[in-house]
Amino acid sequence: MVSIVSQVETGHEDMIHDAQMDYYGTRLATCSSDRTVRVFEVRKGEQSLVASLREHEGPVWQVAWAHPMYGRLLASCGYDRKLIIWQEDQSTWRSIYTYTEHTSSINSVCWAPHELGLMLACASSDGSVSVLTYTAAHTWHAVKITNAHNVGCNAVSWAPAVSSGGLTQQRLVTGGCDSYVKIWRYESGEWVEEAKLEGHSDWVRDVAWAPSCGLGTSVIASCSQDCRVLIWTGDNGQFRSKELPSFADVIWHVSWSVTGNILAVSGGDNRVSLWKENTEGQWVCLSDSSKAAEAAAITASAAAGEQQMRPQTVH
Amino acid sequence: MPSMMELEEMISSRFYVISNNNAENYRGHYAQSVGVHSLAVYPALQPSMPTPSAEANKGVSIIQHLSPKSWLFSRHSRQLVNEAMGTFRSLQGMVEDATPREGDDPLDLTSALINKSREYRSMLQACVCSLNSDLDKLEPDSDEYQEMAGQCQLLYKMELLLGLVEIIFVDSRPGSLILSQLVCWVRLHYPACTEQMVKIMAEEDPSQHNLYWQTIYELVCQGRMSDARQMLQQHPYCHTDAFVAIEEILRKMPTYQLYSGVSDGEFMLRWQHWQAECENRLQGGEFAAWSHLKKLAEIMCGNSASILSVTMCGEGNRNDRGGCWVPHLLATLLFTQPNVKLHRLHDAATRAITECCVKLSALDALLLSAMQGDALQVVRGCQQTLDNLWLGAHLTDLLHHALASQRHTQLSLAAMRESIVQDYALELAGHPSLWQVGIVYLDYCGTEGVKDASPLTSLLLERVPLTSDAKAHKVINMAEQRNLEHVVRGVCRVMGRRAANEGRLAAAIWWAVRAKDAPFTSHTAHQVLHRYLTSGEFQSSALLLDHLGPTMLLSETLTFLGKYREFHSLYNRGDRKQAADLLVTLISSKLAPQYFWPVLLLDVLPLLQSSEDSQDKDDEIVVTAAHTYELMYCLNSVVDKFQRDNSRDRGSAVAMECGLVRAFTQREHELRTCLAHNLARAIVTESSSHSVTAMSGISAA
Repeated sequence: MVSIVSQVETGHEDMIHDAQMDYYGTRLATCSSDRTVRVFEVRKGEQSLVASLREHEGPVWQVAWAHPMYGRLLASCGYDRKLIIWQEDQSTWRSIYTYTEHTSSINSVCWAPHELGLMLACASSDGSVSVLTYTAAHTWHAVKITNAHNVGCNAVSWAPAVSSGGLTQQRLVTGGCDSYVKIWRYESGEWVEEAKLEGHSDWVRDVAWAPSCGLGTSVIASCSQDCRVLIWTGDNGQFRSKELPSFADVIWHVSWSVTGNILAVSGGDNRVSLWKENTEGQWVCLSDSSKAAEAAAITASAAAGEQQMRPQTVH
Repeated sequence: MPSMMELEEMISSRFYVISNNNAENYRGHYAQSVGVHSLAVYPALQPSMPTPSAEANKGVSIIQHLSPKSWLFSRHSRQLVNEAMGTFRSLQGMVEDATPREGDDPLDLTSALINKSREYRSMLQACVCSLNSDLDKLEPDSDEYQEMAGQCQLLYKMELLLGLVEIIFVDSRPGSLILSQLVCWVRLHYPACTEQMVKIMAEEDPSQHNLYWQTIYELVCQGRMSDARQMLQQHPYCHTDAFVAIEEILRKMPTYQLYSGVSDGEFMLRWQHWQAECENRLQGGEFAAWSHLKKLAEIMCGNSASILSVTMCGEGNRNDRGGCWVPHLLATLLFTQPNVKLHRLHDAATRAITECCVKLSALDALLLSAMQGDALQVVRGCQQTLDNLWLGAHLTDLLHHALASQRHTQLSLAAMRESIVQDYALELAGHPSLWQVGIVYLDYCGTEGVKDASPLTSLLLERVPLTSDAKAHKVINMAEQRNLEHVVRGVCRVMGRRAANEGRLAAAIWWAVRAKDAPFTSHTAHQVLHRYLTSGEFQSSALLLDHLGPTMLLSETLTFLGKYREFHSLYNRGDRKQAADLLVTLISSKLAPQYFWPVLLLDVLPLLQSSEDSQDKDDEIVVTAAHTYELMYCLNSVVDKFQRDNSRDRGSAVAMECGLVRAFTQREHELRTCLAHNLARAIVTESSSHSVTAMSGISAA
């Protein structure tokens, strides 16, 4: 049985575009078309407003919390082409850095796994992706992947940290208006396109790299304007996709649970469904487990999903 | 304000349908995963769409936080959850111990498994008892009462199922008769007739009680012959022939005892003989005068209509607990098929259900699957029908171990066990006070033989909110037990960062050292030094610094901090010579940060002055001539730097105003004088005692 634990009246004067709990689930950050970012303290179902941050000059699309080992850091991005990094210092929030190197709306922001240091990626409607790193000299150093997606890039998500040979690999997944999902890898000083995954037939709205379950396999969920959700699994650069049973409407958002075993899918049809891979490797909707086997089994679209992937250098 | 969204639950568990009254203004919803299995849900707007007017914006600012609810998280089940963990853990230990070494035969675990199954069952019973005693204190109309009564039902059903599973799969005796076990199982779960008997027997004239005969029938249907006889003896006519005859039949009924040395065949011969005699007496009209006795005889002759008339109106059997066909099944088997074997049980049960004309409930389906011997179906059924996985996890685990030798089910069962135990662990891990129990269950998931902790354990431990130092230590402990060094380091770094933010520098250093985080350690050590510059005290850091030991080597700044603290102790102890040597070494080795040199120079002052004040001319020189040169050089460079900074900007002049730095500027002249005096004295003393060495020292300097 599911119940509403609490309702947060955010006080935003316009649409909420993102709501993110911090690492421990004790703080909530929200952002809205009303140009503000708000931070709430959540304790035992009660929440109280900690800060309302107003520095963006347009709708704020996404917020993201950094790992708490770097203190309380929040990144927000918006229509005003700005990415702002906020810090709480002795219970006062202030912006510590603003990145303005994109020529169009910044749609998505995601912090890298903490093992890589203080680092984040943001994706913009100008088609490029920026990766910002906090350096030993206390400055932010940006590397840009230009023209990552034609028309625009809608979402970015980091791969969980997997170390190979003592080095932690840096990998990203992005989704764009060109209907592609792309995997990027940082190699000898530049970001290289590791794979271009073709499967969607319309704008890719969201991508989410699943937390590592330790099997060495990459699992990525992507959703699109084409009303489909694909689960990509990759070993050694070879990605295959499975499609979740059809949805009636556009899918806006895919979101993994912290352990990476449950995927929440939400979209335009006012339904939220939760999905889990069963012991036979099929993705089933947790809603209707009794009929799950027939109704929700996914047929591996191996033919469509298996692509010949050729690494390409980004110029 | 009216709620714009109504979130309603569909089907069973975790599916949300959101009715949207304002669909033209925004499209659908966003759902963001929170933690292990909660969701934050809010209305969505397509990023390229224009913002709707303020008019249409009502309700857009609300975020719903959804979470699965289960009785597992209720107050009453806390004990059940914790105790079950103990049993589960010890069971896994026993299985591990029993794993055959090479060449050995595997040990038989059956009796151990039965014990564990009984432990689980007694936990369920205890939980029902505690719920029942609390129920008595509540108003029957209240929501809480209804909820708790529902929980009681659920626990009862779980125990019923577990009992059956124990008989069929765990305590199974291949090829042997199972009726005696079924009798025990039914008697335990349908105790209404014995409770009724106690009540009736307490009456002055039991035979006048309106349930007197019904109770006797029910006792007989459960095979409780001696209880039935005891009740019959209360009848005023119990000495008449008919009563004596029925008493004899009841007494003589053969029951099968597993280890009595009687074979099935022999038992069936005796039983058939007994029933034939009963039949003869019935046909012979011995009970014609007593309709009640006649019905008793009919029951014992296996007359299904008579049996059904009893089992279907039994007070205790008609309750809404489900499985009401079970007593009927037992009575039918007792008097028609006492040698029933497992493979015939399912057919008998299906017939009993048809005869009772009941609609199959989810529990009935589970019981039937068990009677069919389909362990996998029982497991799947548990997973699908119960709102949490307490039973699913423990039952699957039991079955997995009990059926370890049956290869055909073993593979799928192992996979099911793995997945269900893991899901149960995650269910618990999402709860703020049960997460530790969840972690323990995770230890027993994963490929057998692999000793590494499940990767999920890391993911979960890292997310435990570190609300206090105690909580942090708890997480560290759990991570250390599982060799999750990266989790330990992560927790320490978070705690260190937090302590530093709150100005608790000593704690910050302690955590940073623990995390082996050199840059952060240095950063915090610098902060401690800066604080000392203003206040001249180490405050809470002193104790920590005294006990750093070799860990201080993690960062140069920390090493300096530790050594500088050592200088303080030497000085306080009166070891002035050693203190002075250490101090100069700290400067000359460049270990001391330059901004801290003024403090070191100030510290030299009392050392210089004390030897000056000394009356005894032969007193040892505390600061040697060579060291004095070093200090003079150091003094000059500090003063130079101050002057350079001063001329460059006024900002650092302000910095100079603080604490010890100001003290230094005020006493600079005094310091110079003392150094000069000391140098003179040192040269004289050193040249008089070791003139050659001293002279070469000076020329070198």
